[in-house]
Amino acid sequence: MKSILAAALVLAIPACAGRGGSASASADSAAVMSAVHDYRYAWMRGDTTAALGFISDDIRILIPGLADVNGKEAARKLFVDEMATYQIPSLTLTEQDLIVSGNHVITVGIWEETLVPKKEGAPIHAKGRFMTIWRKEGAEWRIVRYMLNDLEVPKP
Amino acid sequence: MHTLLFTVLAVTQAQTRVPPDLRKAMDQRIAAVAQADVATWDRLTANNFVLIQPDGTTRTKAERLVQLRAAQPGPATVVTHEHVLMLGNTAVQRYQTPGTWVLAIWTMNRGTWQVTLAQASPVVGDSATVRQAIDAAAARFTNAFKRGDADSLMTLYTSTAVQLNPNFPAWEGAAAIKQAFANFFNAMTVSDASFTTHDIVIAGNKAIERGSYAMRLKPKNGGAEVADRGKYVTTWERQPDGSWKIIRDISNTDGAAP
Repeated sequence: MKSILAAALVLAIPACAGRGGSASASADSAAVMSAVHDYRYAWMRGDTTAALGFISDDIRILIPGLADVNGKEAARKLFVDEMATYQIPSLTLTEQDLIVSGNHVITVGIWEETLVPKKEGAPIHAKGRFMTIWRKEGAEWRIVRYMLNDLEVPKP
Repeated sequence: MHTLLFTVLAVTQAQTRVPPDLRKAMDQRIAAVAQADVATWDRLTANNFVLIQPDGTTRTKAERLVQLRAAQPGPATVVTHEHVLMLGNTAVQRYQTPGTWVLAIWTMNRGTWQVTLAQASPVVGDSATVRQAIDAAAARFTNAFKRGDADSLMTLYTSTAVQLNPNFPAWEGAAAIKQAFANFFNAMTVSDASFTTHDIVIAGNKAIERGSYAMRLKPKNGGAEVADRGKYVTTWERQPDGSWKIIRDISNTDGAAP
């Protein structure tokens, strides 16, 4: 199960603009894409503090087979554990969909990645879908809901 | 006090005195939007008309005409909470359609009432109202699922909905979702199922439901009953008729991947 946690937390850069096409929706789409970029970069360099800056206080992270991760403190523990355990040399994101609604943005897509344990063990290949809900909090966009599921990965 | 009373009475009386020609024009213009009746809408709209849309952007008359020409006639618009304030040759009309407040300023222009300015604002339901609506829709989903009724389930999805189940291809669009549910119900008898809403995030005309499920399924071709538990996040969208339908749904399972 650990194999998919890092992917769950390294979110996708939406590949398409928000539905509706209004100026404000486009601006929100761009702002979320920027937040995703920065958040992803924080994960790549193992910066827990920066990554947690994109997490809302009332975050709910929903991982298959695990109890819900409720709140920022629980997310902090998860982030620290994951960053200490894995490096992520590759991450592919496809079939992405972005919906802007009010002060929220919904992103849906597929992730596929390889995780390399920092201590020992073979690289792990994992794939699945995600749905992420971003909310504008003041001037910042933060994640309030995150769910992922599994897609079967063909064995080599 | 006398002045205030007079003002209140005057306004109250003014509200009740909507000239018949204006009343007719108001009804015709609302109907024209629903019916994509470009000629009527054009006649009842001033050349310097501006619409302020819910997202803050604006549309000129020419731009709205382009939209109307491209639109298809739809069902009649349900109007509620209408209020009209008459101020001489100007009338301020506000009303609610499902999901939207509309404010329209009418002026008499060469003997014809026309709208010079309109503003549309989203109606964001209070959390209790939205929760009640989602609970009701979710209850219909649960009942239809337990009955194995794909047709009834489909009344809860938009035509462009996407269902994302673990280890399955995405079900994209109403036809694909209906076929997938039909296949599922052909293969499985639902012995029991429950879906529990944990919370709802309201986002404009969307509501994001987080919940968990438990179900017991019996293969129709024999075999042992299967139990499954998991979680889901469902994005609902309020429809023009005020109902809520699913546009995106993702779930995962607490059990091991097959």
